[in-house]
Parts: sequence; C-alpha cells; structure tokens
Amino acid sequence: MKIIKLIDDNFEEILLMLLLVFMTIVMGIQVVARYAFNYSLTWSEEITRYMFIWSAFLSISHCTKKQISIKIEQLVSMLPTKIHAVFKIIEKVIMLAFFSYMIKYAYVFVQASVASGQLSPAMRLPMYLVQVAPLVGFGLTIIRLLQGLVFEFKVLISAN
Amino acid sequence: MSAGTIFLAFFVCLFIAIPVSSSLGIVSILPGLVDPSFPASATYVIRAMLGGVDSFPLLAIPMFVLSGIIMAKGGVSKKLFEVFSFFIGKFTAGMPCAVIVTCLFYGAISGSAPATVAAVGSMTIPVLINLGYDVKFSTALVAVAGSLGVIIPPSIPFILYGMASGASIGDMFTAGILPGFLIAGCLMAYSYVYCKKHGEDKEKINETVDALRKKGIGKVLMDSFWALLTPVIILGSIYSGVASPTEAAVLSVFYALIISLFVYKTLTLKEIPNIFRESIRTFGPMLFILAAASAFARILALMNVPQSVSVWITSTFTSKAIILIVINVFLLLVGMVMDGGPAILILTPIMVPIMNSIGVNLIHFGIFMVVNLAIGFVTPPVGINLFVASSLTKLPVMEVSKHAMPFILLFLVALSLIVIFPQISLILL
Repeated sequence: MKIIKLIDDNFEEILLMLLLVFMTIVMGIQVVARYAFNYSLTWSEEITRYMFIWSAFLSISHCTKKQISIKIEQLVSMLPTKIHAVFKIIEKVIMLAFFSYMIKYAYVFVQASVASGQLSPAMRLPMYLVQVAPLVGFGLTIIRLLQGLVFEFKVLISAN
Repeated sequence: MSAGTIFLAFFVCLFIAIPVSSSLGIVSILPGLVDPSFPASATYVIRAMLGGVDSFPLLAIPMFVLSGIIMAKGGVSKKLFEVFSFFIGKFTAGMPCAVIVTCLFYGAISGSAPATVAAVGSMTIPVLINLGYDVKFSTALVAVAGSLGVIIPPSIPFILYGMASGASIGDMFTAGILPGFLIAGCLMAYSYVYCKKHGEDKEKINETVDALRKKGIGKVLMDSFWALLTPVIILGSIYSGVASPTEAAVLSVFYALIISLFVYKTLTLKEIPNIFRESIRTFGPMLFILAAASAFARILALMNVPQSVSVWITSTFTSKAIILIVINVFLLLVGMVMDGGPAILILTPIMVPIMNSIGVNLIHFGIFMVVNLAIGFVTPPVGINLFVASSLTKLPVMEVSKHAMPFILLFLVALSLIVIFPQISLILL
C-alpha cells in the first residue's frame, strides 16, 4: 500500500524531474560541444524539444494532482464554504468533460501518426513517440480529475 | 460563432475558477463544436497545442527558472545586497535603494518577477525591518521592485513576446535595459521622498554598514565577485551573439550550480533534487498554458479576429495618441486580472496589426506591453507579487497593495515616458 501511495503522490513529478534533468544535461553537452569543441550536435536540439513537449502534456496532470494550476480563485473563494465546494466539483466536471472529449481526438491523432510512419528529421525516431504525449497526458489528467472528484465529494458529505 | 461569445465563454470559465490552461483549451474547441464546418477540429487544436511547445527558444524558460532557484538557494541575492549596501547604504534612503538595485541585478539573473520578489524579499525585508523601516513600506517596496525582474533581461515575458510576434528575443533583451533602469530610478525617487518625510534610524544603519565596511572593500568585492559576474555572463553571451538566449540560460544553470556548490559552498548535493522539484512546480503550471494559448491564438486567427479588431480600432480612433492610450489602458486592465504569459500569447497576434498600421516599432510595443502587464503583477486582484510578498511578511494582501500605490504611480510615470519616447527602448539597438 505504501508503494502505491508513493507512486500515486509522485508519479508525474518524478517523470517531470527526470525530463528536466535530461534536458539540462543534453543542452549542457550541446553548449560545451559547440563552444569548446566547435562541433554542432544535430540530435540534441531535437531530443530536448521532444522532452519539452512531453513535459508540457505531463504537467497537466501534475498540476491537477498538486493543485498548482494557475486559476482565478478570488471570486469563488469569497463564497460560503459549501457553495465553494460545489463550484470545485463543477470545475472538475467541466474539465473532465473537456479532457474526455479531447482524448478521443488525441487517439485519432496518434493513430494517424502511426499510419503515416513519419520519422523525425534528425534522429529518425518515429514521430508517434512524441505525438502520443497528448494522449498520455490527457489520460493521466482524467485519472487525477476522478481522484479529485471522489475527494471533493467526501469533503462535501462530511461537511453535511 | 462570434469572437465576442468566445471571449465571454473564456471569462465565464476563468471566473468559476477553471484553470487558465483548460479554459483556453475549452474555448479553442468551441467554434468547431458549435459549427462543424469551422476548419479547426479538435485534432487541429491538439496539433496546434503540440506545435505551441515544440520550440527551442521556449526551453529558455525552464532553464532560467532552474538557475534562478539555484541562485536563490545559493544565497546569490545576499552577496549582491551586501555590495550595494556597502556603497550606498549610508545615503538618505540608501538601504531601500540598495534593495531596488539588488532587484535590478537579480532581475538580470532570473527571468521572473515573483521569483525576484521571493529571492530578494526573503533576505532583505528582515534586514530593512531590523533597521527600523516600516514593515508595510518594506514589503510594498520589494513587491513592486520585483517587477523589474521581467523588464531587466533576461525575461520570460520577452521570450514569449518574441515567440508570438516574431521579433528577435535578443533585440528585446537589449531594448529592456534602459526602461528597467528608468523604472528603478523612479522607484528610488519615491523611496528618497518617503525616507526624507518619515526619517531613518541612521544609527542602526551606520552600524550595519560599518560592520560591512570593516571587512574591507576588497573582501566584500571578492565575496560578491562571482555573483556580480552572473549577469555579465548571461547577458554578455547573448549580446555578443555568442549564445542564443536558451544556451545562455543553460550556461547560467551550470554556472549557478558550480559557484553555489564549490565556490560559495552554500549548496550541498543533497539539496539538488529539491531544487529540481521546486523548478517543476514553478514552471509546470506555465507549460500547458503555453500550449493552449498558442492553439487559441491560431483559432482566433482562423476567425480573422486580429484583422477585424485592427480595422475596428483604427477606424474608431483616428489619432495615434488616442489609440496608444486606449491600448495601454486595456493592457493595464488585462494585467490586473490575468497572468502575463497567456495575455502576451493571446494579445500579441491581435495587437501587432494595429501597431503596424499606426507605425509603432514592434520592439517598442513589446517593451511597453510587458511593462503594462508587469504593473499588473502588483495590482489586485491577481497581482502575484503581492501574494508572494504578503506570504513573506504575513501582511494581508490588501495592506501591501495599499502601500504599493505610491510606487505604482511612479511606475505609471515611467510607463508613460517609455510609451511616449520610443528612443528609451530603441536607442541601444
């Protein structure tokens, strides 16, 4: 159980930290190669861009989990606690509807990419490895939203 | 579906506290959802989101955030503050001015305003309070001066503006220097007036400065040498054309790591994972906003919104001066309710055609747009600097913002000068 909780708490965060570490190291190598050895790498820029894309889509569920998304909360937080809790549920339901709608098209998007067999210009990697990021990101976000909804309902019930 | 309905839906989403990023996503798919003949399907939106973050220049953002956090943990802001208080501490308002200059320099290290407030404020506000300055004055001072972080290069908003407008990010970085100094000068002028009026505890100040001076100028300069060198390395490599802003950001990460770990020894290896975690939590919330905002900007372009707004503005208001006033007031209002990043990505494509038609230089426009939005950092209801500063001193946000008002007025004076005299921004280019 402890392990499940650990993964549940940190899954996206650890992935994002690893991506950041790799992006920093690869770009560091690129800068050194260019200025110290006057040698331009062809693959480094591409791989960091792709890792950045992955970070962007993983960040959606990370922010949802850690509740650090940027939003304007001043208005709803002025409401009484119970109505505020209802608004939190409405917010999550709307987001859930949005991401459930989007995930279908994210799947279509990846399918098209697999079918086309397109390769990346520098590293000759299959492009679907990048284009699957929205699908994974939206999927994880849906899981996090469902978790959040369960939590908010519990809060609402215990408030009653 | 009209553009008005879309913006209305956007504000409804924002006001019921849906995250800015998802709100942008929702309004991006609305036109295609309502009208199936609209050329942008949900797949188009996903592709546009992916395209929005598929950019090497944008990678400067996580790197500058990372190096900013390393420097904050490594105590670089303290070294800077010591040098400046050494030299100007004894003058009238010398200590508050040293804080402003520290923000100015720190702005040249970090690309973000709240990060500057947090790093400089957490170290200098206790010092100011110890010296007998009013806690409200001190908090407001740092909250406002922290905005220099986005005007003095490197600056995350400048990077975003460059992305959205096609203007050179390097040019933006050059153009931001003098406006930054001008704003700092205005803030210092107010501090001087304030200290003249309310008086200062000269005895304590002299004690502190003398303690510093006892160390001797050589020691203090030696101590801060590596910290002072940081902006020189970052900006020098960009201005000389040796490195792109992204590469300079990477350099600054490694430089910060090396001086904090091995020279100042203010950082231990054990703290590194936490630095990465904090960086993720700082720039993570920006990432999907970047993706969704660029998708939304493309949808607006498909609906011809930029052209229609431009035609409407230029036919309604005839003189250039009035258009500039309208735009500035509008940007100030936007800055008050919205975060700078998405505002820049959405509004830049809409406003660039207007600027072209009234003959405003795009670099100049970028500068005053960011200055407008930076003022929004210190105005309620969503002034992020106010929240960061109030969390540092436990003062209520409204109290900080009340005491920030005189500073904001001076900030507005600087803004007017920057808008009226394009030379302030463009002379260094």
